[in-house]
Amino acid sequence: MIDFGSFRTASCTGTNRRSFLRTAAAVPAFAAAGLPAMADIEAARKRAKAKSVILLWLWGGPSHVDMVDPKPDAPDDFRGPFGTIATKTPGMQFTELLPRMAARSDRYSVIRSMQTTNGGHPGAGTVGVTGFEESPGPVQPNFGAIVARHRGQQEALPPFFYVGRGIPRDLPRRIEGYGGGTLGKAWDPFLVHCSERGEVSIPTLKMLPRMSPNRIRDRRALMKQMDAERYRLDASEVDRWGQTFQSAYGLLTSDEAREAFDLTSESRKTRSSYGNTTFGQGCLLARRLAQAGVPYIQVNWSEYVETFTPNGDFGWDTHIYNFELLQDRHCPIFDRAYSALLDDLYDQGMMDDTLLVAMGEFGRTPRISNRASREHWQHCYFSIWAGAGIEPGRCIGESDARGEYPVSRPITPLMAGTTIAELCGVGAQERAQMKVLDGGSLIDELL
Amino acid sequence: MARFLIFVLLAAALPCSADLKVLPEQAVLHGAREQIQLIARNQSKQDVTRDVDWESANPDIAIVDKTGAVRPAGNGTATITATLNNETTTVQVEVRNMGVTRPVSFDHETLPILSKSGCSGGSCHGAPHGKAGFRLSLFGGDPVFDRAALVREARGRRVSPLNAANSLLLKKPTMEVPHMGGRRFTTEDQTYRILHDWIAEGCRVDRPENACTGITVFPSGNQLVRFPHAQTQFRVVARFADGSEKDVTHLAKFESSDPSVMSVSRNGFAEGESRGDVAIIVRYLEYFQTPLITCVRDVDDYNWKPVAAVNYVDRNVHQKLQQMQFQQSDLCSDEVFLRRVYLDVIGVLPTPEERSRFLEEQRDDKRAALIEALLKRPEYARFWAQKWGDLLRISRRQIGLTSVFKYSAWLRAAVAENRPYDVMARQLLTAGGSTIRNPAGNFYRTSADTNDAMETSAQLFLGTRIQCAKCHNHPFERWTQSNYYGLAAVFHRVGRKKTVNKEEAVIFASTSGEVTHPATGQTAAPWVPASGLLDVQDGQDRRVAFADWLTSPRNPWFARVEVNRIWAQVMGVGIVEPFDDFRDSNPPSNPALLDALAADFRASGYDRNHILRTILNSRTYQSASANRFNRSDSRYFSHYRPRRLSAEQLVDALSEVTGLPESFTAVPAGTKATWLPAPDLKPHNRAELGSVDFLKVFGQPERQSVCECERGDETSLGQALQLLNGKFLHDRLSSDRSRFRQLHKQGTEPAEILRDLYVRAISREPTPEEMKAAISYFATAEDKHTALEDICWVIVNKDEFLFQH
Repeated sequence: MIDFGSFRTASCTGTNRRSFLRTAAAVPAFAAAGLPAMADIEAARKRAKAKSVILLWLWGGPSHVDMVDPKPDAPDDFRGPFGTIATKTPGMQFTELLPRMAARSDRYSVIRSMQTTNGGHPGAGTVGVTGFEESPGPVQPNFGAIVARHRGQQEALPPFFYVGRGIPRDLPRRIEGYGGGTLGKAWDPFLVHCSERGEVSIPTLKMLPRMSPNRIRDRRALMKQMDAERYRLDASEVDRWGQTFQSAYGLLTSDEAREAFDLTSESRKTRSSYGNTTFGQGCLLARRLAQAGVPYIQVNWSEYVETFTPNGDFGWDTHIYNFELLQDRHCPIFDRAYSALLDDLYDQGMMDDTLLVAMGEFGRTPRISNRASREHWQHCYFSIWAGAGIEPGRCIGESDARGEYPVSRPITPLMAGTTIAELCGVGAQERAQMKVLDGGSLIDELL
Repeated sequence: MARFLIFVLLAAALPCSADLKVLPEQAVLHGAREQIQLIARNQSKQDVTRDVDWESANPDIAIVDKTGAVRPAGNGTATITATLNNETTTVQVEVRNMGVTRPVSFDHETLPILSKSGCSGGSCHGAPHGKAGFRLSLFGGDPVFDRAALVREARGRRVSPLNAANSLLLKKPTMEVPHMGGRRFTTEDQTYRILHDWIAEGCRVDRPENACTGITVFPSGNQLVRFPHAQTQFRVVARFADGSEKDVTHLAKFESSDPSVMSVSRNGFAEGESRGDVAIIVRYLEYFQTPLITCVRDVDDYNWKPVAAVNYVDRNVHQKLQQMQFQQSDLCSDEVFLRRVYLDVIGVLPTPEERSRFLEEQRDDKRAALIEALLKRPEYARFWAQKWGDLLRISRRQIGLTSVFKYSAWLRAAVAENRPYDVMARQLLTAGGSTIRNPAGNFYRTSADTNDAMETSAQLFLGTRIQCAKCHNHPFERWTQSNYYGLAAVFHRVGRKKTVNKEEAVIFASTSGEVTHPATGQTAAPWVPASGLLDVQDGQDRRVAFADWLTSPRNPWFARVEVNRIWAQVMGVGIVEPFDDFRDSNPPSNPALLDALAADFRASGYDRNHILRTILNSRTYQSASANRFNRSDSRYFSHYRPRRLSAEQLVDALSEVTGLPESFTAVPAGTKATWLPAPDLKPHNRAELGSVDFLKVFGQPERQSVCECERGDETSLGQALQLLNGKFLHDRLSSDRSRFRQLHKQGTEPAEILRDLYVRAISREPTPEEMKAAISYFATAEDKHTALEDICWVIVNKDEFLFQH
């Protein structure tokens, strides 16, 4: 893999053609030196910086041009009503909807040239979190499942969490790439719901009447006594079940696990800094889980989070009232929660080994629709990266004057996943062994 | 010809060893880019290509590397010597036309190279949308498309004929310019040379005059290799229309069907990793072959312990086990057999009464008698109709509640009367009329259009996932895109008419309508695999002609697919696995066994019960679990593989042990989970999203795809949590109506209650130690009810309960 060293694009022009050529010219000498395989492994180990990954999954397709990639000079039917504000990154502007994030842009990097292959929620959702289309299949594992598999089952807490009610789904069906995919259901995420008041509910962990951790411990002890060696089954399937059972047991009985979910042990100030919203409190929970050593936490802003109708709304899928919703609801909530999480990770000293990524499955049409909103747009969108050795304060990639297509190298979900895996220590060789992220390359500009 | 004679004379004159053979014995290389792969075999016909020392006596004419690949250097004839343990063999290689420039053939060299290097693979530029704005046809299947993509797109930057080395097509795969796909080759490789020359010559894309007509792979046929020498070098020769032949090993693509058994290198060198069978997929242009290799290893102190064979199943299994050096496990005990066969045939646990009756029975053939009795039980039809329901995707959402019941009842009747499988298949495929009157017509409601009906039929009856061929020729199968549309044409004239009843449709055969091949724009004629164009009489329903072909002996798949499915359902793993994925590149683990079952199935008049009975009576099915000599076997049926009870079986078993049956929506009280006609009898309710459903957690399929793989048998944390602290089990344990609570209330001794629980749950008596532990737990407990709940919890969480073994 090639480390670009001092190669930077500090301005928001992204990797322009000139700098691209410069880089390209620098490579042959490097390659000709006969980079030994050991150096590859060494580089991967050096990159392994992320103990935990927090993915803020903005399901529905957040509007890139109304958030982090404004086009104030675009024609009327593209521009949208929002003004632009400067960020701490020279040359990078946001819309006025994200003031807190703008003031912290020296702590993260923004990619403006994301591109995906699918324009529907379930399909693009799967591409977004696995890197691959669902069909022809088999459905590939979620990035979280790959990291979880790499780290293995932990003592008490599962290695891969979904925060937010349920698996993101479009009306007809769920995102198939939500879980273990080809790695197996054992690496599916563990679902946790967190209310706007910070009450964590995990239906499967809620003790039923007359049940308690102690009673479960008693039963387990009795189980050991009532074990007849003669009748033990010897098979890998049985062993696998035993391991899963042990994890579930740990989760139900260990104090460590319960503490990780207890947001009341945070100060009132911290809790309110995230905002009294489902997404905000979910972000705080994610930080606690990361602190407790969970390798991968995906916080879903899906159709069940921040709902304004009881049974779910459409997440970031703002086909109607796009500008109203972004201004009054989505952006203030996101701006606050993201900034609070970033500050908190810094204050807790977790930024060096926590990777924080925010992205959706695609962007929204730069041209305003006849419903005065924006539709799905897979050709150009954004992602935001922080922590774990990510070079902060940069704007990577560039979209065209209307925000329709990347003019620099398109960055794909597969590249995002590969970068996440690499930063977690899942090197190219291990990826090949797991048969995951095939053909994926790193987003070098981030490193 | 004269030269040829001289070769022969020369060869005869040289001191050559009969024990070391090198192929080809002579060869001619035309021009600088050709290459020849030599393969060496010793006396026992083992491949020793990588063991011999290769040497060229005339390196200025031909160079040989240590893998046995020969490249030309100058005109003339070179002698290549192979030496192994002081034995030598020589071959003569003649090089001609070194000075003559022969343009690189786009179709025969450039595209195969891109395919071999992985560029046009499905996960790279061969993907439907390509990669990074550059798209090629999958494995070079569409040369016309690729020409445009390579030469004209991207403003011609991909190729630069004036300065070939500056082409992106070369700089990307050598990583001179960053490439998402990584390094594919280096500037030293022959690959580079070919692409470079092609560009430098001006990217000529003329169609070759001399078309390739096929390939031959050496060694041909199936092979057996033995560790530590489990290796084979392949050599690929292409045949052309003018009768000429050319070595294309360096242009062909190699892939292994199972790299954990045998891996294969870029240049066709296959190396064994573990015991097993593997297909090596060799591809050049649209031609491919799949030679099979069996890798065996001599196991220390292995001696086949003869096991009496009950029927042909055992004879075939034993033969394979001896070859692979695994030992058959012992016969399982009566108790184990009883529980196993109940779960497999009727889906539920034996009752204590049934158990004692069977154990007390003295007849020698009591197992066979039990199998016979179970096949006559009504639960058998219900349980196996549910399996069919999975395959036929019966769900309320798709066909409505009334139709769910009608269609399931039709299936149940088919199983109950043991309707011959060809008759049943024909009834489904050719169904017509009202779907209320003829529920089989729902086959065309769950697959609502031409392609769906065709894909469903292909997967069900031919074990083929033909979907890939919809958009492109199937990369590793004999399926082409034309085949896909030809097969679709069979199902295109199925008419579906709505009626006033929302749950009813009228299925009829329309007399017009054709499928158009999207690439050629031509009408696709009805086509079937193995036989070609389907013979349809004037005015005949195409489906009838298809059913005739399907159930005829000309179709090799129909019987095989079904016996394999039955086998997989009771053995846990198919002879072909995944069991509905038949293809040359996915060989059966025991072809003789599959053939024998299929032949028997045909001879019996497609009698499914006969096949099931044959399998259940076999010693193979009645084997105990793993022993020291077969633990690592997962494909050859040396032992019974424990598998977790299915979601429905588990619900029924837990209901049975606690005496508290589950009640389901829309079906009569007493309906078991293993009888449910559809997974979604309860109408969809958004408010309940996110609530936990025991059946779903344990893998009950949604019935959205025809693939049986939808039924999850993997373990998940959610499942374990359900058993540790889940409502379904907890409600049953803590209810005061549970059987053990009732027994306790009636004053039954705790030891007796315990025995009853054991026998019901795991079909055996508790051991004295288990009894002691449970009784003392009970005796010291403050709350006796709680103690009993805990004891029952322990029993249903034993592996012996959760697994069928």
